[in-house]
Amino acid sequence: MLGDSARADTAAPGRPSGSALAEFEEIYRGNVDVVMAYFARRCGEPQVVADLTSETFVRAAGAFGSFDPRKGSPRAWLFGIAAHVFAAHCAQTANGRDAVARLAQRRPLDVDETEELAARIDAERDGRDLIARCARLPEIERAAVELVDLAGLTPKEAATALGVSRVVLRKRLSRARARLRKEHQGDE
Amino acid sequence: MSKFEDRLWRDLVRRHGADLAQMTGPSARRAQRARPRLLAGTSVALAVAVAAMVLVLSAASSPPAFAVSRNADGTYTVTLQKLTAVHGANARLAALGIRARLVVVTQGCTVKTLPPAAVRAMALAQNMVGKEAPQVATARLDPAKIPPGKWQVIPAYRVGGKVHVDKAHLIQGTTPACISTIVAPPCQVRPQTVLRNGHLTRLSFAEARKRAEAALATFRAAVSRRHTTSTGSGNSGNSGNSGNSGNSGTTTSTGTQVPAPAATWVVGCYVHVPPGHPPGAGNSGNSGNSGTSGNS
Repeated sequence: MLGDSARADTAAPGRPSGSALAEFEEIYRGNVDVVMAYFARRCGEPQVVADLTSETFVRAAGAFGSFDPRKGSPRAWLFGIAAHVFAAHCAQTANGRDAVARLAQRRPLDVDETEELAARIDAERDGRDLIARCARLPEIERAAVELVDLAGLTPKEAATALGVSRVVLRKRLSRARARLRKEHQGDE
Repeated sequence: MSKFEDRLWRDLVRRHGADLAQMTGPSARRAQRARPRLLAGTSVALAVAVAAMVLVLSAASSPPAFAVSRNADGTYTVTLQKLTAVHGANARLAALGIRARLVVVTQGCTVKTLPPAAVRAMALAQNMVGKEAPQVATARLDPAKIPPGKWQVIPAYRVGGKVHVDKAHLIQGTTPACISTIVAPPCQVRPQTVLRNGHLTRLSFAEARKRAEAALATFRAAVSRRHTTSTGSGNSGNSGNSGNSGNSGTTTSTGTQVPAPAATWVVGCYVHVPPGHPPGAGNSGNSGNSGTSGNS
């Protein structure tokens, strides 16, 4: 779950906000951890986690001019991009092409970075287990559980990231939690 | 911040820093859109009174790390307290329509080099460390004296925890992403003609490449030497690097692209990857400059 620092996804009031770079840096520093964790729950390979995280922020930086905070929080916006990046990665991997490596101009990790990311992947073991348990759930319910219960997004933010209404997300989330609870009780 | 996260941030700044620094942030855009409605409710007299006051523009409600103030003679004074405030000051200059920008001096930057006089000024500032170095750096600029098509670049740097700005320089074209005190070799090999045995001779590609690589080695040695001698002072820290300084040699270089060579090899600030060749191991893509920086 997220710590307090990870919630620093909105620009602090009173902070100089003239430059987009300063605002983007704030968003980056407040969210790079959760975005990396999102990919660490899906991939066991440090280099892939690094590539996908890089690609997400490269795309975000390129599209920052069109980001409108009124439509959703920076975190929800980033998770929307991350979901697209991961979908593209899966599609390309299935085709035998590593598009992300090409798009992000893959930068090989050094030993320290590999260790850092391996530790991060290891730390997300519980999250991966939960996602594995959600395998039988419909895609949207799985995503709702992950974004709200693992990534710490509010239901409103998760709804924005998934492109559904808040009501739909709440319903799906509630249904998914009920199913997981039932399965868990069945296991016991 | 982990090492990976820091390195990723530097990559992002190198790629998009210049664009983002020129752009207004979403919060500021929102504030700008809200302002007309706010003004509509106030009296015209108040607006006139505000306009008549000395115009001091600074960061809204936080302690001002920068200020851009208009003087009675039409010139502007830019005041800088922190190197990280360069972007805020630049955004303000952009909003005022002034073709002048503060640019951070970064060791190993391959975009533009400071003139010798500025390097001497930096050395002087370095010697003043611990004495009476100014707490706030100020630069005065006159927009009327900036010719069309040119930009005034004000080098900003930090020595011993104090921010300094140097004399402004006029440059043609766009403002560089960063400037350096060390002359960098050209990023790419260009056709070169030399005097050999009394005859002008065009160097072969292999010879030109060899010379470029030798220049790169000299440059790296100079950067490394400068970095070692100025550890703990000057620009060696990257605290001021959060903006468009980085090591963004790519900014200028991409603007002057020449066809990629036939093989993959390192010259200047780039690793060239010809079309059809996947980025190889080691220095892949355009991240080859990380070895030359010395500012990380």
